[in-house]
Amino acid sequence: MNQAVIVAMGRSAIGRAPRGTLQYTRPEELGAQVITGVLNKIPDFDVHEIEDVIVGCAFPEAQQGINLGRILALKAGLSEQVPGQTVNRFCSSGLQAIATASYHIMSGQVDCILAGGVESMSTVPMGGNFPAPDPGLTVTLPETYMSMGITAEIVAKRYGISRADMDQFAVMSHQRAAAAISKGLFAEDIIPVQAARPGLDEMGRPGITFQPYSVDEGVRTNTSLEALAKLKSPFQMGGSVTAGNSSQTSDGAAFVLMMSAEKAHNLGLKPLAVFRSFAVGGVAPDVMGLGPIVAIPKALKLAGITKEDLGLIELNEAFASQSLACVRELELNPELVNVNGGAIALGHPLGCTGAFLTTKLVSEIKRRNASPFGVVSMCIGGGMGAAGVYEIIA
Amino acid sequence: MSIYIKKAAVIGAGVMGSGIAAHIAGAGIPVLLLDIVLPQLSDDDQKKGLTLESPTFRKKLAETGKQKVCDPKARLTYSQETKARIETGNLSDDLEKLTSCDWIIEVVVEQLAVKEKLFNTIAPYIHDNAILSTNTSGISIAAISKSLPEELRGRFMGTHFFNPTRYMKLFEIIPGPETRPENIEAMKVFATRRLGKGVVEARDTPNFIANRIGAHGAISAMQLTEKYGYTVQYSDAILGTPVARPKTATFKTADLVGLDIGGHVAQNVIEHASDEAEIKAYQVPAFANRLIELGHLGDKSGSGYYKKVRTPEGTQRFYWDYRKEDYVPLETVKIPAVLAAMKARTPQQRVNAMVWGDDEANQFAWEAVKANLLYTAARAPEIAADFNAIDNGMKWGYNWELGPFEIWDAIGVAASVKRMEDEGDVVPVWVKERLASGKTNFYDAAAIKTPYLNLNASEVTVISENDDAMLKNIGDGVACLEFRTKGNTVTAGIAEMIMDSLKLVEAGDYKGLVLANEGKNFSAGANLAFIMEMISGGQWDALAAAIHSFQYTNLAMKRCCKPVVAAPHGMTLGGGAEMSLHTASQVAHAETYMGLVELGVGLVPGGGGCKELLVRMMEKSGPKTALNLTLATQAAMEAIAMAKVSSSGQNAAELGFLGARDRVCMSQDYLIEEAKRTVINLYDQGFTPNLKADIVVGGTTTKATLQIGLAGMAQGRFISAYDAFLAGKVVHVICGGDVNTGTTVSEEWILELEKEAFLSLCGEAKTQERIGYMLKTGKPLRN
Repeated sequence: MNQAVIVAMGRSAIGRAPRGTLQYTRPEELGAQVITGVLNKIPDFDVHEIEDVIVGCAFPEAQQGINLGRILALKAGLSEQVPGQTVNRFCSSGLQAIATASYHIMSGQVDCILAGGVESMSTVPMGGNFPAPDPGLTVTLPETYMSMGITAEIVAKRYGISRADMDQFAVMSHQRAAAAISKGLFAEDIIPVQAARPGLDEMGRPGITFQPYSVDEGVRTNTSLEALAKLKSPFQMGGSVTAGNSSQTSDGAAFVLMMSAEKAHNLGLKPLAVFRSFAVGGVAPDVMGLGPIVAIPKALKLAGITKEDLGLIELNEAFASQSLACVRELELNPELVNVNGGAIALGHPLGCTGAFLTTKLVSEIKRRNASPFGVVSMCIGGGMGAAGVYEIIA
Repeated sequence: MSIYIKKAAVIGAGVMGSGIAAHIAGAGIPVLLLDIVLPQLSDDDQKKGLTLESPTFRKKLAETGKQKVCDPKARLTYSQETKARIETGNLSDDLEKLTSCDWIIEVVVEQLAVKEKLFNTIAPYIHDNAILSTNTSGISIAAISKSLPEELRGRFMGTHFFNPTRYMKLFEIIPGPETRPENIEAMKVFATRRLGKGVVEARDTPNFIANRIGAHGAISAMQLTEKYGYTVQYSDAILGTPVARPKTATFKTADLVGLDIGGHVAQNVIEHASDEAEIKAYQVPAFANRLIELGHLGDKSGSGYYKKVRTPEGTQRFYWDYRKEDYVPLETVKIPAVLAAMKARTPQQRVNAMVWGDDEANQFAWEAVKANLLYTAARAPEIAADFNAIDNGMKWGYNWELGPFEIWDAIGVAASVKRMEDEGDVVPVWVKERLASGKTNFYDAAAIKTPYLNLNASEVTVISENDDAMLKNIGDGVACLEFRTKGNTVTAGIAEMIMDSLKLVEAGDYKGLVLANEGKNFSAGANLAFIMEMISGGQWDALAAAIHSFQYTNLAMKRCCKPVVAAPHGMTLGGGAEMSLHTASQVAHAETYMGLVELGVGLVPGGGGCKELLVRMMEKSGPKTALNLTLATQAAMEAIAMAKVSSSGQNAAELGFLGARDRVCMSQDYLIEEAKRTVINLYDQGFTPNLKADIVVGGTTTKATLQIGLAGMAQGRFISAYDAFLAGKVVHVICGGDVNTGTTVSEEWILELEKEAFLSLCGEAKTQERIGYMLKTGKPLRN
């Protein structure tokens, strides 16, 4: 079996949705700029080498519809010979895209794939433009369509996660993210993009202006336990899951260029990381946040390592309640989880997240003189978990 | 010369000025609201980085006034659209903008010198045909007029609004010495028709009409309270509703108005009066001044004659014990004389019972009423052209149920005059002469003429009637169906009358039918007690028949071959709203509180309301895609499931109860006339009756989508499980049942589903609990 490696990667700064800097930037525009930025990192690479573009997107409709993968290949000006596909596994779509790309490469039938994720939640909201659940399931298994916030409340209750612990977790996420940004730790991964904004020209006529955007804007540097304690749950009357201890809705795009180790060697490209394994698993839809508890052990086993071998863990912070439940249940070392902050501070652009977390994991492990193994994991709406194991190459 | 006010300016953005601006803007007329530029920056301004030149800083006063009055929580505007019609500015940079205003109203501080200076400043910017007015409540119009350039005096007058401007109907017009009569007439018409006000022409005397008589009424009540040694709470229990004054009586009203304001009004009369007795009558008791000294100015300062304290155990209420000079808890006050009077059916009978009884409380009420009648009668010739103006002033400006002269009629003019004289009082000559000439009453019901159509006018004849409704001929080929049930509740008798009326109108020489009444509310809804009775008696077949009859009465109205026009106003709830929604056109008063509120009592609208609101939402929804069908259905569901009630006629349009065929009318007086005119217009323009229409429904996809939303609300405990169950019933009805998305169904099919849902709910214990609770307490139960 061939080895699948990452040779280049990058992401946009994550924008707040639906009222952040990227709110007017269409997902195709955002994705294409990031793809261009990633490929610019390896200027000698010939784009005709790319055999497929796989894009993860959680709500592939409207602006994100009509096969975003192919649209992006064309929009980024790769070549009309470069095909594209869109994959959807909700919040793990970005990681799924990388895993699918890796499988193809490992099988030996394909050598080079551009994979990643794009989500503009400003453009296509959570749930899509028109949620239309199956009439039968709404009666037999309504949890299928349960609001994510309610599932987080159920997890908090079932695992006895206190409001104070959740808020503390959230504050830590913001503090870590703020520290990482001030140290410039994300600078190398971030591809500056031009954000479209409404503006007036010199004659005062309405039109579109562009604004450079390159720093994650979700972090609240000054948040505190006191400030978070004042928030009320929007999901449940008297509940403990609040906007402050949940992930933010966001806009973002992230891509990795993957190829077989041999191809990388032949092209003279230095691999950044090796894709080791990927696993998904199912749980009850009403406790979807517990998905990583199933997925992480499975992925570790496939990679042939144990959790003690992990140097770093990127566990998507969909909600503080489910993150804490997963950390406690899997007995993960909190000091290795989301060391540069998570989705509560930086945002969770659904289909982009798996690819975004991959860039975070790979960059951070490189800085650390520790175990080269890391895992990216997340819970998934509908009751699933996904986990991908990487080995970083020093 | 007629005036047409395209744009108005209000100068002074205090509570009153902003309120006036919002009301005029609410009537659809753009308003320029100006105030001064503040002399210096506040700390807040500096923090925001403002400078003395920043436009934001320079129009801050006007902008603050606008924002306060437009805050939806203040409930002072009809809709959010009002905001867009108010332009703010200041008196230094924006004077040029006054040149485009056709009416300029001054609402600045009550000092002649300030007003003079202001008029001097703005005079050059007032165009040649513009009307200029002052909203002063105390300063002489003649004094202000004198300071104006001569060419402005003919267009200058007093226009006195009452606070809160939206709700107080009174609008006093006070001509100045040189005001041209045609300008007074034009302003009267404008204020009545466009602003919906009740206009009273007042003479240029201190405090004009309502404040003159109202302040006297309040102060004499205070003096008597002290004389009788009553507590403020005890006094208020007698001198409110029992004597046809507002429930807030004397002291609670003072708290609302502000004790200091009340004091200024009294002082203004004292300063201008030469009559010793009058000066005495306006002396407020020492305890009132004491409260002002202590800063207890009423509601605005959090305490006055009454005070509320919120504690964890609930709200505690206190009143000011003026002897102890301290707040003491409210007591339970039961006064036999009051209890007896309150049994009366009309305010006339009530006040009559109150003043003629033998108890001390009766004596107290008599003295208060007498003092005010004598004072009013003595001042009437000086302050108003006729006594009717005074009655209107007190009813529209002070919320009295009856004006002084109506009260006099109610208690018997001859008998009360005799009693007054027996008690040594001097009755004004004109009253005695009137009595001597054989006029035993001030009003002769048969001779009352209104400039607008009223249903009791002598030219209006009754075509037919039953116990619950009357069909009247209101002239020009238009019939009017008037409810006459208590609270105008919808009954079988009304439904029967509608069916008969439709037959008559369709067959006879009529252009159409108006559905209207002159009650406080258009209709409070269905007769709940009647429904409960049938449920308790297990009369399911009869109940089903009643629902069916109501549904098909409304449907017949909708499909009438001649125009049927409703004139909703005030509360138009449940069954009342269902009827109104089925008409060809609704002419709604600006103060219309419309809603399908059946879920509050555990039911769904059962008279075609679910169907009709769905149809209205669907009409606006565009191509019948699954998404559009779902959005329209959702809008109907939310209005019904959340029992949304409009906060105004304009808001009823925003909520979807009024549509393109309907409109809002500012004047309640002219409402029925407007509805009648609409019937005539529709008929004359060639009325196209509604055909049997089919509805494309959302079916199972929409149902599933909405059900998931409801499940989320219930899981989040934002609604009770029973609320979700009830809303689910609504969803089932308006999705057309279990059918494919996009299926075409008949109106009758939705009615069938509606009836089925209604009847099934009648059998639910929790619905029965809700109905029982509502009947007992008048409040909804959330079980």
